[in-house]
Amino acid sequence: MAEKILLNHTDTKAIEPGEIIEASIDIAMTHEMMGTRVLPHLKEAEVKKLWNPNRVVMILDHWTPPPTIEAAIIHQRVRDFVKKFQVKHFYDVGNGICHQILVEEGHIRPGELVVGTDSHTTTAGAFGALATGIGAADMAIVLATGKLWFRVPETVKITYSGTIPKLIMGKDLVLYTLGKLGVEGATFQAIEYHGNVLSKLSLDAWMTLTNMSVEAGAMAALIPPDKRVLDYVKNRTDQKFKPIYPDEKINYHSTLEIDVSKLPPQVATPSLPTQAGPVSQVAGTHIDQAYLGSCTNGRLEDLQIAAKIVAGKEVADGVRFIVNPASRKVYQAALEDGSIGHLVQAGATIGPATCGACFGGHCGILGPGEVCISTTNRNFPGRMGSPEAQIYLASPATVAASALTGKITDPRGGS
Amino acid sequence: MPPQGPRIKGKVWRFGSDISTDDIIAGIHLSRISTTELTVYAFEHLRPEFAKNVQPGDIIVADEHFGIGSSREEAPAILRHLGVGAIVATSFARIFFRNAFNLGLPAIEFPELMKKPEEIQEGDIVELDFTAGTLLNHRTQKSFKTTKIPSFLRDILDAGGAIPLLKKKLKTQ
Ligand code: SF4
Repeated sequence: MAEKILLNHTDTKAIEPGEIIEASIDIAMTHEMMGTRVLPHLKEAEVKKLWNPNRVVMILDHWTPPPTIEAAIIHQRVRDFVKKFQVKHFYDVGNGICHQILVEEGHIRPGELVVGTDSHTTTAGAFGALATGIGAADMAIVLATGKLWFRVPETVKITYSGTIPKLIMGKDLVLYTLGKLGVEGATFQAIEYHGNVLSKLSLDAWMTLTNMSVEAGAMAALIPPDKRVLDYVKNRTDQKFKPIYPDEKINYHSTLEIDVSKLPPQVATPSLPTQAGPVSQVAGTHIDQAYLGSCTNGRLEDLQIAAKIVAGKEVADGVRFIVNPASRKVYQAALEDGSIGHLVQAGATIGPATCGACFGGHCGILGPGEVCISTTNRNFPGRMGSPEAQIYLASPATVAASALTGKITDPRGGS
Repeated sequence: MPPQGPRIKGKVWRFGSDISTDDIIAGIHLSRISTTELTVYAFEHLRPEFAKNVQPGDIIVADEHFGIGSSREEAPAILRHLGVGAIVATSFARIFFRNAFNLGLPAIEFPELMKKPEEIQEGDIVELDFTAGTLLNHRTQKSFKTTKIPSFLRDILDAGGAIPLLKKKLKTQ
């Protein structure tokens, strides 16, 4: 799929994995990095106008609401830029996390080529787009020219079979898969997800899979769009699009088949997302903080599952349970269906729709020696604050169950 | 500006595997806008002496997966700002690799190092030849093969980075 989509965005007739090619971009997304690092590049290159302001999406989501003066200044610079260069799609503080907004607001369409100044731009692959993270200089080039160089990726095929056990979520599948692939096990490659299990997973869960694929170094992650995806996108855009599906005879670089029927909840232990194992290995570990949110697991399904688990119960003494919905729309839906109420009643602190603590910015930073179980995607030393803090990554179900006991806990009970 | 000839020679700072962009520069500092201010936090937890003692032209040598994690360009930017001449590693994370070249900082793949990581040690003086794709360790006088830089990326390096190159292109259009 990745190769086909790339080919459709070049003026050549054929491309091969490993080749460096130039491709035309459909959507370019950037966030606070615009105000810090892209702007100086644009100034240096004396860029006077954007290649196409209608295809640029800018979102403020990392330092929102701004916790420092510097952050507020970054936001001001982005707002000024949006006005001056007439950027069509701008989402100011409070709308939510970029990867969620892109999808919710209909900027992601199957078959398109998307770049973003954020490594988790791969998330959009759940909606059939070839989407990849780039740096600030890359973004300056895209904003000026609409084009960028890519190394044509090979594709790794991952197939899930079997039936999904109760309380096993997309996060458990992807953590287990990352454990098999290893850090950078798919560097420069694209991952394609297949298998009968996918139709049983929600689109929220699909986004968790494509989101975390980047932890294996993948350039992009894609899922062949199903009817749900096509309907979802059609309801949010009036632009035409052409979904791309894998060819019958495609040469995969490698394949991995995973039967999920007996998969226990997974936890990635400090300090690599690929260091995943069954929750039983670490069950009982004391925690200081439980974190529910981020572009990996701050969606409605995630909040609902957590709410169900904590409903009518109380967060353990000494545990901070912090929740940041992935977007304002998710927040509102979780308010309306009562999920937020259950979470608050149990003792959770609900924060704004922001990246917040996920990257150690604000809204829940860890102190030295503290332990956090988190639904986010990275647990490198220092990722959420002190480098002497320890981060365990798990599903919303496991995080909620652990918040109640103050220890890493199997959400299925019994440990 | 790090030296940009076809050959560079420098003192080695030796790192291990899985050095993340969080190790290079922690997220908490990223609301600072000036790269110069950020440089003091380079490897602040892993190698607190790095920012103070690194000399222009020094070379970082690491094992697997250098630069894993976020797309933050601040990571290669502060290293270049501190004068690091090149980064040599068994393998790089994709976005870090792009960012480094875009900023005019050569990221040289050295897969052979995986088999004998002890061949390059802290403080060694090594010489890189970008055109030939070789690395010479002056201490042991042993020479190794590195991956050659594709011509496309050579052009970026020769221009001093992707942005000066873009500027040139826009001018000639
Ligand atoms: S939620 Fe975390 S991983 Fe996702 S974009 Fe924000 S900081 Fe990055």
